[in-house]
Amino acid sequence: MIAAASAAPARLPFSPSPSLMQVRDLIYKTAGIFQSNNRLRFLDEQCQKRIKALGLRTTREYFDCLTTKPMARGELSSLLNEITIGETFFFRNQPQLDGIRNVVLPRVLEAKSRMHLRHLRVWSAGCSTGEEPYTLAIILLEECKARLKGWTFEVVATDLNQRSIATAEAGTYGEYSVRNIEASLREKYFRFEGAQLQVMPEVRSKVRFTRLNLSEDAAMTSMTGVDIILCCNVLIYFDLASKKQVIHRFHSSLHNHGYLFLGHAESLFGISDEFQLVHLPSSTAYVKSEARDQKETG
Amino acid sequence: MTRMPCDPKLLQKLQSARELPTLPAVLIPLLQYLERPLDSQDVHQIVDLIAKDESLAARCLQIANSPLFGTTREVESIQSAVVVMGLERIHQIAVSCSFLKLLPSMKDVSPSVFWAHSLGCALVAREFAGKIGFPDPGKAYSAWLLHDVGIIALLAVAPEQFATALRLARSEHIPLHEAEKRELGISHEEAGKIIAGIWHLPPEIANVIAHHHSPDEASKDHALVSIVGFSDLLCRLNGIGYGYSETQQTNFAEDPAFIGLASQFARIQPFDLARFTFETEGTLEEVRAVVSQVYGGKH
Repeated sequence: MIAAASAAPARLPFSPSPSLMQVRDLIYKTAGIFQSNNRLRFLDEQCQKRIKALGLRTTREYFDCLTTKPMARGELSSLLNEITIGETFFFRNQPQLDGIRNVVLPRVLEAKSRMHLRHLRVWSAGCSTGEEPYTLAIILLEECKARLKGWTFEVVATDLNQRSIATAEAGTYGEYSVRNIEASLREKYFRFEGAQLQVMPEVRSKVRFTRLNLSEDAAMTSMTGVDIILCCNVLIYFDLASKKQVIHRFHSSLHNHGYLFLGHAESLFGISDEFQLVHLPSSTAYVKSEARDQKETG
Repeated sequence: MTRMPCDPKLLQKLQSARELPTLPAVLIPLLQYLERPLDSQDVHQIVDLIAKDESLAARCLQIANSPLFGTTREVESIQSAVVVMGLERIHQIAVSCSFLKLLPSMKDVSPSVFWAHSLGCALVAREFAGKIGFPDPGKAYSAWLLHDVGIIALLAVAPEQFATALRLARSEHIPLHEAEKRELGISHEEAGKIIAGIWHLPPEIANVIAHHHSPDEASKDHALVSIVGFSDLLCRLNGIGYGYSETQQTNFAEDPAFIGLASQFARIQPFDLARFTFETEGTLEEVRAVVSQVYGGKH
């Protein structure tokens, strides 16, 4: 049962430099996204790309560049683009989607049933070119004969960029975007248009796209009665004050039973105590903090 | 939860110890070393003990050369591993590998899945203990590694019933100890308490084995038990459980064991649990890689 053990290691461990660890900590402190040890080699590769582009020599010099104004903020955004790959696709974070479908959805539906409401509202905040909200719509359509029987739902999808919204509304995607979709779902919810895939009207009718700036208070206050918010790899580009403001608005938009999902390895630590971290299978989410609510109402 | 009354024959089998596996010979002196003060531990004795068993030595080197134990350069012998990594780390590696010897006799839980869970829990517990300021997490490592030996006991005396419990847990996505209580009337904590007595394990290890899913019930070693209770749940949530996923939501801020630890260790308030969770993902990825290497990818 146990293979003949050999003393030779399969691979040598990667030894990150102290400067790389400083870059990792800086990214977490300022952007709120963590690169775990198994991603340090990847982080190093992305730093090396930026070092080359900037004509620098060492990671130490690059760390200085990330911490020295006026370059710091812009360069951090360039690095974040590299480490989040900058491009989205359907069914991007499967554990998160499984958590929404199997753990969160039953809890939300139970809470709404107690309120005698049978309509579900999901918000994809920072929806980019539409892959995330369409993914959510497909998952919820799949539940229409099961958990969502007798329910209605809508996915509200917002982004700051008007061009992204236009692409999303067109609903046409290349192979890269759809590579993670199960064959049966692809067949059911897409049709070929030449080399591209078009999202079927059944899915498109469930998603409402709107241009919205998360930093604009007036626009944000119009978003109410939301059950689930997804805001993935968006807040990492905001400064601390703006992040706090957006999170506060999300808190107001959500029902008391509502959930906030961030991108993989994104955290609200040190940003807000209005939400509590909860663990789902292989993913995390945030729920409204009851202690805080009681404090506010009491 | 419906609890089945425990079959008296099963209990008798556990207590009579006739069908239980014996503790691997090499593990006994390794555990005894823990009882000695650090300055009286003999490096040569540990090195000789490991080197005497070729397969154990080879496995120890595989683990020593993974990032799990913090090595920064390749080690080719147990002696050099001690020099590079220190006696405590080599001791932990040796305990982890000798524990493997208990596992191949199991039928219904893949030994690699079980070992990955035990190793993952011990490593996550050690990391967490270090962060919150728990004294001497290195010494506690063995207790955390052995926390689930009750499963070995159940597999030995009631393999069919245990398999049914595992199937139930898998189909309903519930914690294994709950399925055991429903199917066997006894959990691996309770079975583990019996086997810990038979093996004459030190009392703090026995406490961890008996109460890791219910740290509140431990009369002593509360922090030691709670830390592995926390890391056990975190490992299961991160896909290093018993080969299936549990559909549950956990809010550690409301977990009695976590609240107990927070009241005891000031560093937990505030503790960046999100960051620790992301760090754990990296550790567990390495655990999977090492386990796959040791088992030759057969799991």
